[in-house]
Amino acid sequence: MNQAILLLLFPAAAALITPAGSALSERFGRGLALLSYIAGIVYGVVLYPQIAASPASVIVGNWKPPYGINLFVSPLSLGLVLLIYCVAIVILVSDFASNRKRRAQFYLLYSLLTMASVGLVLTADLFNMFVFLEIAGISTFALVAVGREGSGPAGSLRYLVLAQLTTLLMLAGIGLVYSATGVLNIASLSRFAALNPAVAFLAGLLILLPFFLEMKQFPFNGWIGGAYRGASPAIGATMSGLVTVSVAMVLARLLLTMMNTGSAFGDATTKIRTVVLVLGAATVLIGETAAFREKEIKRVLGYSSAGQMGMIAIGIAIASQSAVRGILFLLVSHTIAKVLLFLVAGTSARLSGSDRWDEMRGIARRFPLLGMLFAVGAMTLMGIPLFSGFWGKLDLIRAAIASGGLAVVGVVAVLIATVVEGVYFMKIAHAFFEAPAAAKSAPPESTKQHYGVAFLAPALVLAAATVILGVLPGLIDPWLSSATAELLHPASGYAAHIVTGGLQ
Amino acid sequence: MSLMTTSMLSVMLAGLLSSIAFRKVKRLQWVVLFAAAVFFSYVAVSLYGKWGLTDSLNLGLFTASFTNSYIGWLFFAFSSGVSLIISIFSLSFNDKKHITGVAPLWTVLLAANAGIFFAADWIAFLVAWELMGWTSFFIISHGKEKSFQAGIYYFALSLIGTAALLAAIFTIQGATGTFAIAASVKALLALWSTKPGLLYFIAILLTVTFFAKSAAGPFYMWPAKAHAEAPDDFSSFLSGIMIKYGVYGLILAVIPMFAEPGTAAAAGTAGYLGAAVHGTPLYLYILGWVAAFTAVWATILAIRENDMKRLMAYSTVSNIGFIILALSVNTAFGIAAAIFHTFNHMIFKGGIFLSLASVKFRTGEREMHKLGGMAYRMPIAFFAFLLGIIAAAGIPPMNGFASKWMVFQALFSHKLLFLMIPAFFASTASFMYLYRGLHSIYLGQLSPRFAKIKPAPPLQSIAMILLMVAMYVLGGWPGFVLQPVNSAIANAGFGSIQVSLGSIVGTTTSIHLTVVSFVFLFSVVGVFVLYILGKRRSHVEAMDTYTAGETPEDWGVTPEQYHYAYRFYEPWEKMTDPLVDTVSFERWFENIRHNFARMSRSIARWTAMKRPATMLAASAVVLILILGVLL
Repeated sequence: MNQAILLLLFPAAAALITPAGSALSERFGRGLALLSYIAGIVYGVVLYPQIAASPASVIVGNWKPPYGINLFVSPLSLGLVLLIYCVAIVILVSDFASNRKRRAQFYLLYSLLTMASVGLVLTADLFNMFVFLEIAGISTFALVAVGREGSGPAGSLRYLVLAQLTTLLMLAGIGLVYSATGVLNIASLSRFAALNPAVAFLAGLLILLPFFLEMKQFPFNGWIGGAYRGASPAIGATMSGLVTVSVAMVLARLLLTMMNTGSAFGDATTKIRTVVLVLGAATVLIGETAAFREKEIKRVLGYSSAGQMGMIAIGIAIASQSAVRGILFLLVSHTIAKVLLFLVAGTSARLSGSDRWDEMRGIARRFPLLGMLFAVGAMTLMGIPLFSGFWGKLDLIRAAIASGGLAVVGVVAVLIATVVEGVYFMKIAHAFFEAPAAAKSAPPESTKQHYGVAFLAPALVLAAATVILGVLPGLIDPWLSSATAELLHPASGYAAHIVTGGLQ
Repeated sequence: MSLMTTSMLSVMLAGLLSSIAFRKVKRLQWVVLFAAAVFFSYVAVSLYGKWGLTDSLNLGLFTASFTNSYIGWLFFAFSSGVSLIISIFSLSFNDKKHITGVAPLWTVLLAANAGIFFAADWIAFLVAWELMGWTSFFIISHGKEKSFQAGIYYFALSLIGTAALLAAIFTIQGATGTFAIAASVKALLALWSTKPGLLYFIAILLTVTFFAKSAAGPFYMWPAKAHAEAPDDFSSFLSGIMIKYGVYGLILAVIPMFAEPGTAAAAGTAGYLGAAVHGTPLYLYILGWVAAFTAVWATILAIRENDMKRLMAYSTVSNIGFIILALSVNTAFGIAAAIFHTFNHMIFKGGIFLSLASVKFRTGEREMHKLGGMAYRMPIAFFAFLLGIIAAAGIPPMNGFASKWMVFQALFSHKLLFLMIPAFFASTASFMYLYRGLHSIYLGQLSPRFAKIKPAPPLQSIAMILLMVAMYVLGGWPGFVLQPVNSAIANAGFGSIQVSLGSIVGTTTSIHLTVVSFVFLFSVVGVFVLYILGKRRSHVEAMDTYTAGETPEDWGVTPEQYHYAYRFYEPWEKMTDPLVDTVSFERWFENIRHNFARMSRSIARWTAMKRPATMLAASAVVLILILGVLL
């Protein structure tokens, strides 16, 4: 089972070989990156049946946990790894359609980011998580900076400062935990004797901080505006679609599996979950409100991501069966929809020459498919039936009302956010479909433009995925059940497989 | 899978496919819509009598269940029938000049329509409700800026309703443990003694949802905007059928929650145990006042209108007020009256809107003062409108009379005399705006611009004639509708009333409508006979009598300018201006939206500024550290 580490090695190898190969051919970087992700998907699909039967723990470097680092390959993590690879391929293919010349370093950084995301999902060790998080942060910073003159670097710098601040604090938290317990393995910590509650609360929050930032939670989301304005649409899609998968799953892993009442964090768990719930509710309201009047379409999508991540945080904090199922479904549907929306936004921006949606009026009259794809993505995020977002939201609201107490605040926030995001998404959708006034007609040169298959193929695949999941949500039901069980019941699943050995 | 689910799924699929397959030949999309309406009418006919038939659809994560309840079937049958007539109209209305691309969405909307009436569990109801919401939004806004303003207003209110519905569904499920609609309402009834607060909370949430959809209470303003801007044939569907979904929801879930102890609806449970006013539960009494306010307010606003579609939209809101007022009485008679008026309104308002659509189709005008004399060129449209407003005013022999009579009888039965005052006001003041529509559009001087227009095309005329016949038949023989309604409400446990094919036994008296209908018919026939037998007549130009022999062209006044229609009710407008300025829910909603937009701008700007963002993050971190150390 050591071969499972190939899941990490494919993108890592792509990253390392790219500079050398690019000396030979300009197209080497993109070809190798795609090839490595496809290899990752093929390997993952071949591995999946075996993992579904019994999850496996991959011990790296022959040091058994809790002293060594191990990866945990389960239906949940393998499924999300496959999702990450698919999203990476989709985004890279669509990036070919943009007119930018990408240098080798772009593909190097991209593969590093993918590797880091995959690593975050697979790893079962806190410090390893920190390392992957740093790699992801630095790659994101560099990729965002590749954007437009001025606004790219400016936005990414703010992101870097905040990210480094929070990861530094995470390191402090990890140090606290290590000095108090002597182990860094998540499974061990989930069964360790309880720490001093004050230490547990402090260390727990510190460890979660960078994940709050990555998930755009409230006091830490000041970077969204700058970063999304400066980033190219492909990178925007990566931040919102690829990184969020890994980060949300890590938040769930930490809050549900590592911190539960039988763990080292003991009673501080409820306090930490309350903090996450409150922050999540605030994020939902603030994210959607900020998106309401925003005119630059990438920033709208960024703030909308903040709102959706807030909902996922609320669901994780509620920590019941329905809630976790709901957020996993929401995560999958959000990823699909957000990437689709970024693809459409990027193409619309290119075809209309402007980043603002109020200057893209009538674009769907010339390119009806663009408008319809946007409507599909928007309605998925709004949680409208026939599209996949509906089921996730339904489960989340049901879980929140059932759990009562403070979760009702979360429900109110989510319902208000639904109204608000419905209004602004429909405003944008309508602007796309608006019949242009007779006076201002489309500029003649843009009638020559069109979008190619590099945009169309991935977009149609994503749209089909969200509709299929919306109409037949039972398709991923087995995956959801096993993933929920693994997150919520560490003693029988997760911890059992890691601490008692697992395969060599 | 029975006919219920197969029909819904196939129609939905047909709608989605027709948007792709027939995008080059849009007229075929309208044929698909017509076929869907025919199919649903067939389904309605074949499902008659099969009460309690259930069906389910397994979607993996959960199973949607559907049932053929009697009341649900009645709503479905009537909506399908009227949709069929409207789709016949639309086939002709959507010619090259007027065609819109909304037919596929409308087809999917028909499927959602069926879903709402057949749903047996809350999730299926919610799915159909949301589907109805977004398809109707896209139809109303159909790509035009002005239509979009109206559409987004409607959509925002609709979303508020959906949010309330979501909260209500899960609260109900939490309290009763089931998603099945009928079972959960029954279970709620048992909770009146222990958790009345929770039940009021659920009732309020559901009321918000259904009032928002039916434009009652503070939500009265969206139909005027939406009807005016929607495609003309769709306005008929919107006013006739869609706005009734809220009424159906109230009958389905809110009214049964207040079932009196001892009635069949409360069998097995304690029933409603709270305060009551003259036998009406207090909550429903308050709803009745809100409905009465809606009826009066909409009437006042309708009289001020100059645009005929907006005027008729307010008329619809006024009628919804009537319907909810009847429902709020909470007796078998009241519920029967409400359902009967719902169906009657579908028919006569449908006829009125189709007639207006015909006029717009031929003339391109929508503002009443620019029309006039249409009766001379478009007689069938004129008759449809005339009979429609007679029905709307509640004058025999048309169907509106029977149902309005029943509404007042219902109010009498619980001695709700104070509620009758606004109801009477709304009912009689409606003559003012109804006649105005007739006069301004169809009577008076025919503008030379329109002297040569053709009458309504055959298909449109057929649609209007069908509705006219329905208006007359239901007016004289209400039993055609009332007898099934009676069985339906008895089936649902609301009790029953005494009706036969031609007569109704009310609470203070009984009335034999066939007799009334024949009296009116013979009077009209008698007058006509006298007209034929009378002395020789000579035809005189309208202008000659109007101007008493003067020739206004001498001083530059054309016949067109003599058509007194512009700001017909200016004195009324002046009288009600202060009232309308103070009581404006529209301004209240606009304020909310405006302040929200301001808040959004400041949040976006503030979180985007460099220093506050970093400061905030840093201070949050410091706060956490302090908390961690202190706790």
